[in-house]
Amino acid sequence: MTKQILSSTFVALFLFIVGCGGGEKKEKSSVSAMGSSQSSKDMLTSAENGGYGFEEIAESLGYETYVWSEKDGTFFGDPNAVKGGTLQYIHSSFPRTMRIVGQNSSQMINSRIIERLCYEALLGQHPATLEFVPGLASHWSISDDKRHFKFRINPDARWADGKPIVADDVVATWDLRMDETILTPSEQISFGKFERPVAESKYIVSVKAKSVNWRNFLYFGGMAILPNHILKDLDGTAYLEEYAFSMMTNSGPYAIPEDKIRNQESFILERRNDYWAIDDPFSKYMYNFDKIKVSIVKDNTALEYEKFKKGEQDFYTVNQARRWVEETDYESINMGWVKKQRVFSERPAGTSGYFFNMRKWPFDDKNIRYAFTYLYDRVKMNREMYYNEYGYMNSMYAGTIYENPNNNPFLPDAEKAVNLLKESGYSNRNDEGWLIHDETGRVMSFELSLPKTYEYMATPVQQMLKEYGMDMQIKFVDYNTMIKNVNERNYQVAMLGYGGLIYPNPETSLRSELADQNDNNNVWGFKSDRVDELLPEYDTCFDQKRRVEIIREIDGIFSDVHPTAWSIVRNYQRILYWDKFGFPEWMFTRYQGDYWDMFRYWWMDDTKAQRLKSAKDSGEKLPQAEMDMMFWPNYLKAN
Amino acid sequence: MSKQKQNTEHVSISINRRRWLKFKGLKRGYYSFVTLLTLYGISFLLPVLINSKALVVQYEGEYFFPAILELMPGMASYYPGQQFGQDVPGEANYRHLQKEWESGTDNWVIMPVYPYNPYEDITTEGNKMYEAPSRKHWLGTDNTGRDVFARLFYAFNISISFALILTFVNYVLGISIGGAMGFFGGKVDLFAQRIIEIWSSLPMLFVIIIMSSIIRPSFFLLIFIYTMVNWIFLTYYMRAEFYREKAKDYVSAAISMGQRNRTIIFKHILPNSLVPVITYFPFSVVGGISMLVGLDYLGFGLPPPTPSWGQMLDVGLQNVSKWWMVFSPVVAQFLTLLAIVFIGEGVREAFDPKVYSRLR
Amino acid sequence: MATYFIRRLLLMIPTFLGSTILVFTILQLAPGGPLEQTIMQLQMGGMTGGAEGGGSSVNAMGGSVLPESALKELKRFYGFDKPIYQRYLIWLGIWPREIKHRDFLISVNESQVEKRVGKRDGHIWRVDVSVDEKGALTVTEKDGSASPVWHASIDETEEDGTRKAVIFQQEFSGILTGNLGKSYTYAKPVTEVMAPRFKVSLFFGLIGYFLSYLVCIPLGIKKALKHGSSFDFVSSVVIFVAYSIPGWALGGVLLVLFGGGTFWDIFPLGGFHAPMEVWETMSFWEKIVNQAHHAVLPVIAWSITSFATLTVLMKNSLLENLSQDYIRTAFAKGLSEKRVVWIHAMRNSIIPIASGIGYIIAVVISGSYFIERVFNIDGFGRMAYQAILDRDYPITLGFLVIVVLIRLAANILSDLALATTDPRIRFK
Repeated sequence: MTKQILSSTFVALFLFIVGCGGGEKKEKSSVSAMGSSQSSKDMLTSAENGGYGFEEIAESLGYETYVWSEKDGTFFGDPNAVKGGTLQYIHSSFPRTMRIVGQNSSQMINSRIIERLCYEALLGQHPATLEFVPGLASHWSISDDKRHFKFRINPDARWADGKPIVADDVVATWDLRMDETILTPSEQISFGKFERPVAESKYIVSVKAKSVNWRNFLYFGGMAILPNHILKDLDGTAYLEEYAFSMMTNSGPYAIPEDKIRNQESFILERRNDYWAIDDPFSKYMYNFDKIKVSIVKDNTALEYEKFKKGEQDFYTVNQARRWVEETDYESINMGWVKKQRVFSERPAGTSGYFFNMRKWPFDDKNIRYAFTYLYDRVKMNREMYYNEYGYMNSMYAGTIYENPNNNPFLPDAEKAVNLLKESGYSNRNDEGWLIHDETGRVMSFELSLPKTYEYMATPVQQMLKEYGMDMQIKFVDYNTMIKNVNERNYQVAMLGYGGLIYPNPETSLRSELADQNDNNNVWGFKSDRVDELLPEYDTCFDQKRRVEIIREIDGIFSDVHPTAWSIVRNYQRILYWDKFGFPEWMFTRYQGDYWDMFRYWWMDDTKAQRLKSAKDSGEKLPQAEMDMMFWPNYLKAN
Repeated sequence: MSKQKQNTEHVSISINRRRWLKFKGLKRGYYSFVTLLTLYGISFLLPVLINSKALVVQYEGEYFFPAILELMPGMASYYPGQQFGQDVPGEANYRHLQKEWESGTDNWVIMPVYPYNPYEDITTEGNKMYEAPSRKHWLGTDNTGRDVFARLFYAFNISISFALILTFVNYVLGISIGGAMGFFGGKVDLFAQRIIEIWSSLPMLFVIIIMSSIIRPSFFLLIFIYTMVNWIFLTYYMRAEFYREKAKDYVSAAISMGQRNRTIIFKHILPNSLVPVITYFPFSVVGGISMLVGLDYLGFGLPPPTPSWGQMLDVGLQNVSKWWMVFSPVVAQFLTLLAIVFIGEGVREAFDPKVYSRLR
Repeated sequence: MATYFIRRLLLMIPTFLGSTILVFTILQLAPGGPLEQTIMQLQMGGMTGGAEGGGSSVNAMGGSVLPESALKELKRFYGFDKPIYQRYLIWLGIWPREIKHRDFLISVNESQVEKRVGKRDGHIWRVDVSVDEKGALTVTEKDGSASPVWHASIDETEEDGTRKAVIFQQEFSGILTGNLGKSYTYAKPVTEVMAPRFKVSLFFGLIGYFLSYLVCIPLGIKKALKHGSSFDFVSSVVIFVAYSIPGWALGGVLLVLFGGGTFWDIFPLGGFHAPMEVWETMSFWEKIVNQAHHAVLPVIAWSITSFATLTVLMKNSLLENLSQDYIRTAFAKGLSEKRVVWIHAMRNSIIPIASGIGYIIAVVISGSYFIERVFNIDGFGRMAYQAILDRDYPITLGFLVIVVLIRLAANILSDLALATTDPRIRFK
């Protein structure tokens, strides 16, 4: 199942860089570790040009910011956190590059670990409210026509080499991302939506979007910034080559020393004591581990699990219900040394299930699609195979506010299915028991290609359909072949999933124009005039309430057309961890909701570590943790 | 002329007979052979032995034979449940019928000895996953609730058939091509060797990936793909063997007598060089079985839900704590391989033309 | 005979070309190449296989549609804009490879444009590109001399007469220049990827084989001498039990039992040796101990299946020889049994095993994907298998080249062995 996470390589443009600095901090003393002249404060730049004193006049110039206050509670780290210790993490593949921009840099490990912990963007987002919070930029402004953005970079912000972060860095970063020789067209697609940013002054940078779209600000504010003083001597190709496995000077809380990168084996992130925002209220209690060691165990979850049990990895996320139920009955867990919890959050679950190709027989017929869904007995599979660990997905946006509450729940109903099949002309069976069309005599038989790892999920469905005369033939292919067939629309039904989005983006998968083209996310061939009408409105709508309405309407239409027989869903993460960590009461953030949050918010609790050690030595029991961590569901109810 | 022919036939029969008698005398190999042959023969009758379909159904005076019909190719063995007054959407559930009709009716059902088929999973009422071996499921059930015992035996038939056909085709190709290369030598040999060298660099996994992206792999497609490369190994052997035999005096004598190539090849050299190849036959079969296991393990073998030892081993290893899932395919494979190896030893000895020396 | 083998060596050339052409073509047919994978990465946003619920990724963009120009750029990078024969020749290194492409436009009335081509010595590097009437482009440096590295050509002309041009460098880099290309997945030269993994596989291969020989030859001899005895039977059963348990399966079980995660903490949980940061602080002696400690379980798993074949081979070979006339003669001469078996029969029985060396080398170098995966060892086998699944063509081709070369060499070796052991055989 790690493979699953792995394979979802994508471009995480909008990053959850939260609390990377900024705010009101005229009297900052964090850079004391650096005695060099470079770290001295820049008193020459005037307040109008973004220098010190800008804070006083910001509002009059039309800038806004977010100030940390008591009500933010522990969302930017728990005040009980202490610095120190090493977090050991095992990942299933070594990054193809240590870069965060350019070819091969779109894997989870690049965006979730390297980019998020080592680099910073202009803005962050509040982990609970998704409001913008200061990052490298302390203030920002959006023009009335929603197309011009201005950012004022915090004059305290420093690169690791002591140089200040300036407007030119932003321009250089944009230039690099727009350079086609970095071989990452998606960068050009996203940032081509802007004109070249302009360095208005040393600290003020402005950018103009080519069209109105509420996402633009999100994208640009979330763009991780690289240093101009290094980029200026590089072109795209040189950047790809030289920085493939060595780190460019960064500004974030962690750095990866070059001698700690063991290609294909491990790498270690080390906390920087001279991080410029180390005392900033947005980051003071975050980034607590001195070291984060990432080791690689390739494609072997069994070994990874053994390593966790032995203590060579500090935590383990369990993706399969079977392992969670059948393989967590051993000493360390029973004695309470390893805690076993399900952490609930509002993490978008994405959408997964059987995706129909509506361009081809037999799933060009809505009745057949519905019949498939009614016969696909998710309830029975959940009960018999998944230990009732899951819920049922009935929306593209299951479990989020975007889910249309009026969607048909599509619970298994064989009788309905049989009637629908009859309606479409499949009422009789041939000698082998397969349905045949009354007029054409065509046998109801179709093919499902999938990689071997998913076999156990598909064969019971095959049996269920067989019972009612539908012949689903399964073919093993490797992952790349499967995706290729889907991309060329050369399939009838496929078992797929889309990752969840915090801000839904239905355009790339539902626009009618895409239905007749290959190589895009409209794999079903979905067409709807109403949806085509709603999509442009959604993109230019700055009112979140209305956006929710739009998405719900689209969701309703989608559910009705039914290009996907949805499968199961869970809105919690299963985690096992050695009981030596402290963490904020909510454990994982509201929307991210998974183990990647440990790197930023958790800390090594020496008291617990001591207690664990003595308990293990003396064979003593530790109290069990409560199984279900319901902070976010309760928070949602309270707010 | 005809007399001479008769004579040679007589001799050859007696040679084979002698070999057979010798083989029969080697108890270990002989019993293995008999057991394996019997089991393999029986495995073609599996639909009437291990099946969820009934052998005989008597319903309101009419007789039905679903399991027996399944044995016969081209015959429909599907009876909807409604036909027997059963309220099920699809095929009749004969185990339920049997229970229902236990008393109070004249209808009756005779089920096969082991009334489960290798495909029924948790979908079928009453089946559970990870059931330990019991009187109901002799070797337990797997991760989707399928009966391990039933799958084991159906897979046995497929494995042996695969290995036998694969070996046979390889032999035909390998012997004829390798023999020709060794006999004619010179340019033919040189050219054929190049072709073989090039051909043997064919990356199999790629060929399978490409093939399976076009068509659904089937039993015969896999055999075809595998023979494409496997016949090569035998040519090396046959080529060397022909080279060696050709240099021997009896061949020179035959050539000097002006006998035709065909006669020399088929009458003289082939019988002499065939012995080692035949003794290698069982091991080749073993190789074929292991190959299918490996392919199925990797997911490039037969399409699901075909029962196969490789697939069973794979899920078994993912669930090591459910011992019956690992134990069953491993033991089945072990016993089969062991039997084949014993046969191989027997065959080798039976074909050995020299009097066996046992150091006193 | 010498001429025969010289000819054989020369014949390796057409074979080598033939094999690589075959493999090269097959690779191009395989679905889901690097280009398609990149496209998928971009447009598929968070597309994943439909696994058990949850566990999916969170991102803001649902993927995007790839524009035609970007596709062209990628094709050019992977060299797929050339016909297949050119690609093959480029791979061989006898056709220039185009690198560092940059696009630019020349408008209708322009005959010369300036183009920035990156940086040199920290300064921006600009060159002038001029067009003649026929549309041929020449590149000149700023000092007026013809550029030694840059070449340019026109891609296409648009309706309004604007010409889309591309400037690039050329180099000859292919297998004949010792360059196997650059891996797509590791982003490093293929040779650099292969070298350390080759060593790892060689280590296990050699130790494994040495161990099997050490066990199998004596065992085979004993079984031959006691043919038909209960010892023979029992040992047969044992080795065939071992034979029918796949090594990797055993390896997995051994790791659970002795890796310290669940049961006994005796051996480390996989890996070739201790993690690098620990490894580098070790003394030479400690390194040996550590290496051996890590090697125990993988070597057992590695050699367990080869026990059976080797033992049976040894036994049969010895039996075969014991029934030969010369043995009878030796006995008749009154030689002792010891002498007959160990000196006369043994020497000839080892030959088939020894002549299998070529094959063994091939097996050793191809490594064992399964065992390397189970024990998390970065070896040759896993590299090759993963390269196939990832469609990492440079690695796959490089791997096959090595295998083909070794196999060719092994074929010659075995011919040589055949000729020397049996003087009656003649090669012409």
